[in-house]
Amino acid sequence: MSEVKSDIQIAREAKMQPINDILAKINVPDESTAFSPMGRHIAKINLEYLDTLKDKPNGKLILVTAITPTPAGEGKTTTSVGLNDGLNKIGKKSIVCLREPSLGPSFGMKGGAAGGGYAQVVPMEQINLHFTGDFHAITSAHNLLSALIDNHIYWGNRLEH
Amino acid sequence: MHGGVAKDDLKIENVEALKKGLVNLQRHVENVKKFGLPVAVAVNHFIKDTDNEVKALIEFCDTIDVKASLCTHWANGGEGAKELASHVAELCEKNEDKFKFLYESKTPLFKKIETIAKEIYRADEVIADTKIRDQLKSFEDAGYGDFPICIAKTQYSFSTDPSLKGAPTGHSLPIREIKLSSGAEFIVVICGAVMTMPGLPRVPAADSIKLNKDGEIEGLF
Repeated sequence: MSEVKSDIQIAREAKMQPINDILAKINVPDESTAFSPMGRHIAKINLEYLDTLKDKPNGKLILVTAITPTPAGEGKTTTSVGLNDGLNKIGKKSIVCLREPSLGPSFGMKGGAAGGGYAQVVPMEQINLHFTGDFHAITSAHNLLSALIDNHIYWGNRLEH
Repeated sequence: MHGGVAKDDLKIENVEALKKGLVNLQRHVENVKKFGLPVAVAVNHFIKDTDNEVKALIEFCDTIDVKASLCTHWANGGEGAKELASHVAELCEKNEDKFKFLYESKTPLFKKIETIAKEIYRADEVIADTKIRDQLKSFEDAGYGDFPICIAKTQYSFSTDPSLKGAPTGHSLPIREIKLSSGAEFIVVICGAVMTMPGLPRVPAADSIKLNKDGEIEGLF
C-alpha cells in the first residue's frame, strides 16, 4: 500500500448505485407503497410496507457490539458495514442497519459516523450532515416551541396571573 | 487501552498489554452468552496492529471457546470480511435459538436493575436512596412495572468510574436519578456522573469542518 487514502477521499471516489437497485437486491419492490426515494441514493422505507411482510418467515438478525469503548475507537460501524459486505460477497442476502449519525457528536468529537476506509456508507457527506432531513425537522420543531414560549411571555405570561 | 497503553503508544507493538486488556473482551463474550446467543469475535484490523498482536488475540479467543476472525474490511472492503461472514452465516444456520432475557417483565423494577448490575457489570450492590426507591415504587403502582430498564452510565467502563478499565469487580452501582419514558416504554436509570447530552469540547470537530475552494466539504471523517 503506497498511500493511505482518507475516508472522505474513498467516499467521494465510490461509484454509487441507484437506491432502487440496492433495494431490489433485498426484494423491496420499486413501488410507491414500498419506499419513498429522496434523490438518487437515499430512500425511506414506508412503515406500511413492513406490515405486508408480517406473514413471511423471519430472517436472521445479527447484532454487532464491541468491547468497552476507548478513545482509539473500535469500529462498530466500520465492522457492521464490512460484515454486511462480506455476507453479500459470500452470496447471502443481507442489509446493514445503522444508527443515523447525530449532528451534536459529529460536530463535537467524532467528525462523522459513517464507517471508515473501504467499509463506509455513502453518500457520506449527506448522511453525516443532512440525510433524510428528519433530524432537521426535530430541530425546527424545537425552535418553533421555543419561539411560541418566548412569544407567550412577551404578550404577558397568562400562567402568572 | 484496556491493557493500560496510552492512545499515542498504540502504534508500538505491545503483546503483554494486549493480553492484559483481554479480560474486557472475555467479560463481553460471557455477557452475550448470558442471553443464550452464539457469539463471534471480529478483529477489526488497524494498520498499526502487528501479526504477533493479532495472533495473541485469536489464540486467546480459542481458549475461551469463541472463534475470532481477522477482518481487513477497512483496507479491503467486503473481501476482507469474508472469513467473518462465513463464520457468522454458519452460526446463523445452526439456528440454536435459545435467546432469553436477563429478567422477566414481571420482575420488580429494583430487582431488574440489580440483575443488570450483578450479571452484566459484576457490581456487588446497587446504591439507591429512599427517594429513588419510592419513585420506582410509584412507577410500579402507576402500571409501569413491566417496562424494561435502560441504564445510562459512562460507556467507558463496566462500572460507573470511567477510569476503571478491563473487567472490574466489587464495585457499587449508585443510582442518581430515574426517568420514565412512557412513550418509548422503558425506564431510564441514570448512574454515576454521566451526561446524557454532552456539550462540545473546547475545540469541537466543527472548527475543522469547512468548504474548500472547490466547494467540497472538508473535515468529516
